[in-house]
Amino acid sequence: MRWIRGGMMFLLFLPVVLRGGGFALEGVGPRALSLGGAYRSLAQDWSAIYWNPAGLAFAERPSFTLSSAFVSPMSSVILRTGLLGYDGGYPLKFRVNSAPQTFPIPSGGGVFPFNYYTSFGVGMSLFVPFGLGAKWNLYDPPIGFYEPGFEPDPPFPKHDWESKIEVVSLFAGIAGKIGRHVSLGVSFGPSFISADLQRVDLIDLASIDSSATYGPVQYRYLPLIVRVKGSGRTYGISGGVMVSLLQDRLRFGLSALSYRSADLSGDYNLHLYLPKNDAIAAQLTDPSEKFLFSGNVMSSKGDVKVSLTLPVVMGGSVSYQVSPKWLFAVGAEKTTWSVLKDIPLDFQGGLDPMGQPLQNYSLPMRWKDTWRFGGGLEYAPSPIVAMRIGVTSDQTPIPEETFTPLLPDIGKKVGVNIGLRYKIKGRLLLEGRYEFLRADQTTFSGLKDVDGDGSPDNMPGDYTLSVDTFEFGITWGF
Amino acid sequence: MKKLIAIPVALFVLSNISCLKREETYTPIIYHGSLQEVSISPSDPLVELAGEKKAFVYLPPGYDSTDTLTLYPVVYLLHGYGGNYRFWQDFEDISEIADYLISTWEIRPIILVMPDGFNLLGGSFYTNSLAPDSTDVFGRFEDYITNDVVSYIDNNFNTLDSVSDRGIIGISMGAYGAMRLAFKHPDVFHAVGAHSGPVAFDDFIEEDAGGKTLTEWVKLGLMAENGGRIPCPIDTLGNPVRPIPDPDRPLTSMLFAMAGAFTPRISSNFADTLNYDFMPILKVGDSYKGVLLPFDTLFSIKLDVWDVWSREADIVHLAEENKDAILQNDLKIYFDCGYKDELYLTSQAETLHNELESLGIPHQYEIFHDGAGYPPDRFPAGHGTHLYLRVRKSLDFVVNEIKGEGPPAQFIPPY
Repeated sequence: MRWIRGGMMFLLFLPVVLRGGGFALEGVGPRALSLGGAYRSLAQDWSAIYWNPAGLAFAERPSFTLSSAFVSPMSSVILRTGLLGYDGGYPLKFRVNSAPQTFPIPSGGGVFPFNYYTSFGVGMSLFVPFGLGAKWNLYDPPIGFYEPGFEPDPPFPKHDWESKIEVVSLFAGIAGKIGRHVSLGVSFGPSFISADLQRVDLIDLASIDSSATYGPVQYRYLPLIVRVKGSGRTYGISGGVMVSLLQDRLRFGLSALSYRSADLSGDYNLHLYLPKNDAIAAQLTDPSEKFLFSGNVMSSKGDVKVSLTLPVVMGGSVSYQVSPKWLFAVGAEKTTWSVLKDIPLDFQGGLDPMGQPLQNYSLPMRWKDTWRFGGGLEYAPSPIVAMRIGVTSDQTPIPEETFTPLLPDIGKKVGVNIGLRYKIKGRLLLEGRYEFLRADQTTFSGLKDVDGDGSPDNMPGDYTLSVDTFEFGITWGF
Repeated sequence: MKKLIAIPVALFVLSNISCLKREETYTPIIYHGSLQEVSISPSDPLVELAGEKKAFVYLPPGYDSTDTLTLYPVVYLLHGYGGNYRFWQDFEDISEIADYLISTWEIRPIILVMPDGFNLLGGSFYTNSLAPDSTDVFGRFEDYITNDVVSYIDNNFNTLDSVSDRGIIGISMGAYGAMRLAFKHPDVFHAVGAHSGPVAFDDFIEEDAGGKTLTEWVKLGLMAENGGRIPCPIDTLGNPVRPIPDPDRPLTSMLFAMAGAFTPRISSNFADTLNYDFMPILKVGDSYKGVLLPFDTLFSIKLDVWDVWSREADIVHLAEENKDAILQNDLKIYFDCGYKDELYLTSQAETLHNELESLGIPHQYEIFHDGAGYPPDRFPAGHGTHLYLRVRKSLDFVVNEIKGEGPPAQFIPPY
């Protein structure tokens, strides 16, 4: 019986990466992403935990890696809603760019092949929080909503649409060869999720006071700042198979990663901003109607529970070592985002700013499955240096009907990666990559109400997206 | 070791540079004008029966009263029934709208004037309230606007005082007033914009087996407001009984106001109230100032009274009567109405449009529907609901039709 190679305790810090503010699993590792993510057939370093645990069995020596990516997404929108406060009437914004942010995404792990040590390998864990998201200054109360010189208390937030999602994952994996050419592997572990989301909802004044139906349109929609924060934990498991042929020159890899649904708990804060118009208030006799034009801010807060269904990510790749210097790889990956139909929000019997019980609400998502294709070339003129170039083509899971700037993952995205490897002193490896990702400008037209609750579920406009990413990593071989 | 540190630091800095340079939003710079409240005394003291006549005057950004070489075109904004000179600012934030439109170069810098058309009956319809013998009953408001107000503005502000530099816009009763004044005085106003105006009075009446009568919705409204018979506003001693205007009877009040504008009377015969032949409003000495309503207690139309409304006051008729002057002076006309006007004025706008077409009078006309994001079932395009948005169109139209010699639209004087 051949030795069962591979199999190691491997702890990997695995970030879930938000691509340009979009919520999409991208992957880890400068080499993997430099090759367009076509890495399921090649992964035999620390990143095999994510790409294909079966690759752990092909690791040749123990190593430990620290890596960090710096992601700078840039999104912009010219809104086409017609809603006052956005682009309706007398717009106070033309093109809006998301607030400049750079997100550091550290990762790292170790790999310990069994055939190197006689005892079971032990890994090292790293907990480094990070965040990705988007911040926008999209809405301003329309001109005339407040009287000149009036400022509400609290003031209307500058960044009224914000998303910040942090995920920290901790996986361990083990793999073993069957024969000389095939390996099977599995990895599993917890993921810790925290989310902080804020957006502006517009509340029809007539839903509070029905006599407002024929009131002036500039006072009909009241801005409601909705902020929901929550955190929770889930577990994931990944399994894969890797096949190596032609003396390891031709390789195939298949893997799938699945997460258990996550239950997040946290709190909500609501602020309803009322207009200020003394002349209209003077005309009204009912004190509660007068109050609606007082300029006050009505607030409420409470607990919230959120249930999040996460997709399965499955894919495969093929790689071929054309010559000792040239490597070619292609791959494809499917993510079953269609499981994310709605996000149920349970407000635990809390109250809205008007003192009424908050109705539990299902945030419509209606996401679609996505495919990502990629490929890359690696040129290693010497054992010290290697250069890589890769291309990816990625879809968005978010349909037009539920697209909002909170997760501005628009349209079809094409990324170009260039990477470099440099070996120092035989055991120290430096790797770096730069990714240039762009999406075609995408236009979403028309407000859509998919759940029939009278409020729009999307944000139409002309959107652009680009992401610049720098990543570097350092690996110590033992 | 230094290289190991320098490379990631350089990468981090590079990744941030493009972000740092980026503005978050592209926003217009809004320059602010000023709003002045002025008193404009009428030549006719009866215009001030209901109180001192004031006006708001909006002066655009950069206006300098000492710079008499920089002159501005003027647009007059007329309020609706029940309102006064404060309406456009208090309810529609017109000075902020003007600041925005001027700052974004959508219209040239202009002066806006908001005079007071309020009278004892709640609204003058911007008409000279004259009895058949030309006796002034409730005030000469048509003359007040076209003579007193225009003269005051031209004498006290840096205006371009030719007809080609003057426009007029109105809402509801103000729309009627704007159309009336523009059609009758195309030598005073070069462009007119009208929102939701009662501009085709024949649409208030219908014909049945018994003859001409008020339309169903008017009848039902009057009956609902008055429980049957319309009471006399005062008693023989002049004490109020069910005075006009009455906030609980808006339709009744408005019809009285129209009658006060078109068929006012001075009479001493109180008995005429029985069949609405004369409805007194105010006791003056031994007589009463009042109105003739064009219908009787069964809502049948009194043809002699209606003939005055139709012949002398109806905008459709005024268009016919003044067609030559309108065409000769090249009066520019825009009017609209919401498709769900609560006073059923949509059909009147359509009637006026058809009439102007048949007369060969060029005009722009729109039946206003909902806007993007405003579902029509919840946001009906009613009588004044979307005025905040619609006034942008009329200002665009009127200001761009005023071809004066004032500062060009692109000029925003620096502060």
